[in-house]
Amino acid sequence: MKSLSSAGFPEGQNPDTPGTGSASPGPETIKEKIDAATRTVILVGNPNVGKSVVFKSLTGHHVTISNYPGTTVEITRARTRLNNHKADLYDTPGINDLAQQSEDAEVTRDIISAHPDATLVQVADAKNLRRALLLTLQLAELGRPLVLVLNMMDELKKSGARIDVERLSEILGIPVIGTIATQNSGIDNVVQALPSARLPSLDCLNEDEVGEDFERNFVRMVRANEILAETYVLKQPRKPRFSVRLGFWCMHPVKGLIVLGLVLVGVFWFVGLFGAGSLVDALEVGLFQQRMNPLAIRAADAVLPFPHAHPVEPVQLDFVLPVTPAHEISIFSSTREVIGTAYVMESDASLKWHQKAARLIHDFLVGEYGVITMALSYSLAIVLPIVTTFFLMFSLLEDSGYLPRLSIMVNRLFRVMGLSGKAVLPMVLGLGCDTMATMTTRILETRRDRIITSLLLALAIPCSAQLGVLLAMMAQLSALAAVFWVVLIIGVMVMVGWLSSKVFPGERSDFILEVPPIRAPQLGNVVAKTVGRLEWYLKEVIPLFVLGTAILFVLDRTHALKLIAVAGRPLVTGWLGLPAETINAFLIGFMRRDFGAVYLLDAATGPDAILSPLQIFVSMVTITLFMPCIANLFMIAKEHGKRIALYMTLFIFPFAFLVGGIVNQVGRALGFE
Amino acid sequence: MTKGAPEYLQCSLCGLEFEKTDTVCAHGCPMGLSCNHVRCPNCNFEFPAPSQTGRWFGKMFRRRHRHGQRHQNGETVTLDRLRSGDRCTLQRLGCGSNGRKNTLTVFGMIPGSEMTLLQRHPSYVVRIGETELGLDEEIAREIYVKPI
Repeated sequence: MKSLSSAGFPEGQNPDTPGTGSASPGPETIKEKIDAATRTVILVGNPNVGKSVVFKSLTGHHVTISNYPGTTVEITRARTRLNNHKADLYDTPGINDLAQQSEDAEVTRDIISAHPDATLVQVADAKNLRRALLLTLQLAELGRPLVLVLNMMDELKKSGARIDVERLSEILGIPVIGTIATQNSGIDNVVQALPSARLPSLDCLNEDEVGEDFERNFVRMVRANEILAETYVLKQPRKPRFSVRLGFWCMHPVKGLIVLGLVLVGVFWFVGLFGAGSLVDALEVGLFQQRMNPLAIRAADAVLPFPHAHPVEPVQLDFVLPVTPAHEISIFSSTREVIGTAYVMESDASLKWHQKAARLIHDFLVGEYGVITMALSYSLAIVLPIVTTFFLMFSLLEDSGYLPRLSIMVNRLFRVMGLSGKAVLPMVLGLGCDTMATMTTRILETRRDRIITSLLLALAIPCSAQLGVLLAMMAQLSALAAVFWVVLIIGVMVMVGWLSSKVFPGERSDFILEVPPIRAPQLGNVVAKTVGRLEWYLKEVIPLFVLGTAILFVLDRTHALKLIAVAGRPLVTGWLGLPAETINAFLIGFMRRDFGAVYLLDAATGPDAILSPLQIFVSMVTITLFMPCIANLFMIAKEHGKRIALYMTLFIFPFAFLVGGIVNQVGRALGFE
Repeated sequence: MTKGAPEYLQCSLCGLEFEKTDTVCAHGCPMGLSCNHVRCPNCNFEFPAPSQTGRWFGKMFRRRHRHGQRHQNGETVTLDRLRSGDRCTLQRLGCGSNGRKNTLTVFGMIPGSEMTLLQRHPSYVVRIGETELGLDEEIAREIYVKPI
């Protein structure tokens, strides 16, 4: 107990008492004071050790939990009752090194120093005690009451290793509790141990032992190895288990590609065919066109009467199970005779003013660009199933531990773009929602990497809402065109990444990535995470859809759309070679590009399709390269500053038109028209 | 392979090493001039002599021996010189930035710790203790190790 020079002991605790693993009840006054200290609890730990699961078990709150480092990018706080006391719990981002000059470590340091009376609970991966001990030593230097939780005891057992928990508790002088947080086992023991949290009785590093950070950590690591030698017995199992081998296959230069191919096929089937096909049909036709829309139209007609009639049309729903893009198994189909948004009216002139007002509101709610018939049915019937299926897939992938292996696979490609393989994590998430992915760029170390990744996300990664619409557009084209579209977008991404890595000064962040073990995803966790993401997405998105529809409605009614169409005519009809009617698609695309894509889809399909195949392709490329949505722009501004957000906007939109125009000109020169 | 220098072949059946000129092809073989087979003087097994193109293709599939050298124990090399599966002890971290050294230290890379190079492509993966780390080649070149 020689060098706790930096901080005094909390009142009432005797520094000479050697700490033991069991709670030793002291005199009442002392106990009360220590109990008071449990009122703020801060969870600290290495990345990917299950802090968030422990946090969830302690509080019952939902936190996003994943199987890759760096999920908690913001502090989560929850208020709960522990041992009959109100307690504030804080979940911190995972850190390997408390002294590091990184945002995560800074946030954690701040929260610890802001709560001088808090009890620290270090959550550790039992399999990886060495690295946990480094952090324990750093926390010990802070001189705070500490409890060490050894999580994932089941995985430790499976790996054949053993930890002498009592001996460890004796050496460290703090309670040490083994848990399996995903099964909620041992959590009660953690709660019971909180009052007996005490200062570690360790030889720590002296404040005056100056040196570089890595030298100090070196000293700590040597000490950690000493402790490890006394408490940790490793027995390697003779034959690597299947999950271990699968983990290697995912990173193998050849087998890894096969695994990647299988994963892509699986995701495409589930999201592209099942989600964007069957589920969208079921919701859009079955729920909205057959039931919700007629109901809403009738309700609107009853409240807002004006002389008009909605013709009745048959609407057919085919629910199918897709096998390949061209083959499907029909499950059931039903046809209903219902009314649609179109209506016939005798003459506009005969309407009185209040009937005109009624008609306007009627159109605003259930007209062609109506809030209910368009915004709600689009966001709930088209976007929701696609986004749900994608997030479900993504949650499965991230919990399985595949994503870090994917970044090992693509590291070389990303080096061309001046990024490290880690950037693939936000990029894959971006296929679900670019705004959410922009937030996740925080897992990258340097600001330069974060900005380039955000730029590429905003430019070239279509989000799942847009992907769904694009898939429907692509159905109008040949398979070759679809391949060409993918190649073109990836090409643009690599080129822009390469150029921006040359333009942006600064170092690329180091690629040092921990590879977690392959795990079978926990269904409950996957579902909870998917629901959490969906909740956020819907809150973010539905108001935007409604706002977008309203703006479009106003533009349509005030004839501003026509004015803008005249102004944008040279660009759209001349340079892109598209009909003038598509201008409103691009206009609305400024707000949400997938929404813009819906208008293009309208123009590309149906009985009165006005786009030729080349025009479909050109408009697809242009709208893909648009900025995803207003929310994404706000997120970029929040993460990287307004100036960067402005520059990105000024680059992305002209660039999208530039690439679209080049495709158009080249296509025409090659005689595709 | 310079002209005139003796070319050694190894029989793929019995393992005998012999000079190419020692091949015991029977005279009057019907396969004619384009025959590139050689026959082992020990067991009479016939196999195609390795050609330039054959070697090139073979190299693509062979486990890569970088710079063609095995490392003797006790020789300090950088991590990128090792073959996948090799075990080594860390000697020191090279001239990278302190931040990089710190990151590696925190993951358990301190002189004397034992590690295994699990794979080299597409990125380096090492196991150190219980941690598996993916690394860039650039970083692997700065890690000095002693193979075991």
